[in-house]
Amino acid sequence: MIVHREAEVRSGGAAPAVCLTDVTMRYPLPKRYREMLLSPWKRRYVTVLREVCLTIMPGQTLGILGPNGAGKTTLLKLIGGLLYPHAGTIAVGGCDTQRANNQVRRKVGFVLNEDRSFYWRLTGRQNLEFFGALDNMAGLALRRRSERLLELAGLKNAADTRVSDYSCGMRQRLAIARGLLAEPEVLILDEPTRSLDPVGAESLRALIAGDVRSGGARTLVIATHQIEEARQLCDAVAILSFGRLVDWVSVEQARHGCDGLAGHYRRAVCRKEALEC
Amino acid sequence: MLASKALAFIKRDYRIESSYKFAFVFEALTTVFPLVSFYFIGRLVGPQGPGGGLARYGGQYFPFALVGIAVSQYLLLSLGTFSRTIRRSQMAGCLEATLSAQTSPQAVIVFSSLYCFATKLLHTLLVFVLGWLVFGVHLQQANFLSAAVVLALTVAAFSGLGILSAAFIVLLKKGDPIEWCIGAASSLLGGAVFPIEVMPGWMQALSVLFPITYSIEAMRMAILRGWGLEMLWKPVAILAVMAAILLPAGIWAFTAAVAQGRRDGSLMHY
Repeated sequence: MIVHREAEVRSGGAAPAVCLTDVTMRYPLPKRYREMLLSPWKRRYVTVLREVCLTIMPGQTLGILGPNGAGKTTLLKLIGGLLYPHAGTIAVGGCDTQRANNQVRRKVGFVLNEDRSFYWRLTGRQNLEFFGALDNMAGLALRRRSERLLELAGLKNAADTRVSDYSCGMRQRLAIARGLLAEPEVLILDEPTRSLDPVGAESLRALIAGDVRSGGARTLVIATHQIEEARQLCDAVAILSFGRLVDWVSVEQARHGCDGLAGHYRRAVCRKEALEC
Repeated sequence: MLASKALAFIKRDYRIESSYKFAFVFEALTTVFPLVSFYFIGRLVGPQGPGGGLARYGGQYFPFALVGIAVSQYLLLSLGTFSRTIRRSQMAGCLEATLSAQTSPQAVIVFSSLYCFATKLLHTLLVFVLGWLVFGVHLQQANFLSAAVVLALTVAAFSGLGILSAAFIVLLKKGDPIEWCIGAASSLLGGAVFPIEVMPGWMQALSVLFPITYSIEAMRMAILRGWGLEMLWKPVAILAVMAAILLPAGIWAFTAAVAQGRRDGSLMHY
């Protein structure tokens, strides 16, 4: 709850863009044949997020840091309404992700880190036009929006090339263009520079910091493993470990600490690991 | 807006399918090949007199089988297309991206199958055109309005079962019991290539539970005997009731399955 209140105080009381209250998420474990026969109705679960409270204010860019398996992607999917929490509530722009899922999908854009989330037999432009139609756009407006986003993502010259012929970096840029199609208030990016070379990653970060962030008009939630990326792009960082939100720090505040954001992250994660052991 | 979404799905599927150059041709050939076999079986059986099992359909085996094959192929497609579409999206990794857009799961499942229905309708029409031009089946007295009404109602009823089957795929990923049970039973009990009167009594009793039985019978009467809707009121009414029950039930089950997938985090699993 400390994290919750700290963000609210910083915002000066404005309505939050995203608000998670005591969110717990668990996944069912696959059953063995023996279990299916002996206890067909009993399910076993693994808990991936525990009682997470988090508030993200409009225009803020929040980084989610944490080791592999900490629950970063699950947290992002919960905020985007792709998953429903086992307990607790999540509100985006005041709408509950479970009860008002349609409204939430209008407010949130999702940049999945999954290469296969595109139709590889279609071109970049055809993919954008298809997903744009799903986001309630049509005709000339859709064509213009797709053209504009392809240009913004630096894919204008590859617009009519099949996605199967795109490089990883190009697919990642196309994912960002897709996330921006419906001009969302909140954009969620799951490891946007994963598997990109240093130059490609740098250029993608510049795109996110500039046009995607839109001068602070859009709220961004970015999961990343890279401290430097979080330092460059984010206003604040939430640190997850073993499914718990163990720390929340503003990048500015961490910069003035003894060993910067990296040290802060290391301390938060190691402390949690020691407690779990 | 719904129309432009439907068009977007049709365009997507057309673009993907047409990128596989020979697929359409080979699929059409697969539809047409069985006709040749049944044409020769028809010649072997020969015309039947007034006392034969085929008398009420005109006494010829091949036209009887032609309607049965065309209609049953189309109906079994209605059963399988929804679950195949979902399975393909799961495997391709696009299901989550599609369901995260501003389109309801119900619209996604219905629109995803439109292209498949349209192409299979072309194949079915091709079967009838070949039956008429190449194999000499008389279609002059066919009542196409009745046939279209019967087909629409049957597609609605079978789509309900198909969407229910897709709900199982969302939850189980593979091994959908609906398509297996209904598909296999419909092929056997629906009377596609033989009259149901030749089956034992208990099988005939079971056949009345499946929409395909009414559909094939009504289509044969509409196409081979030219019956109008006033003469086909009984199968049409039964199909309408089945569609009114099965379609909403299927859509409800699919919506519930997607919600369960969101709770379990299993939408992306395959």
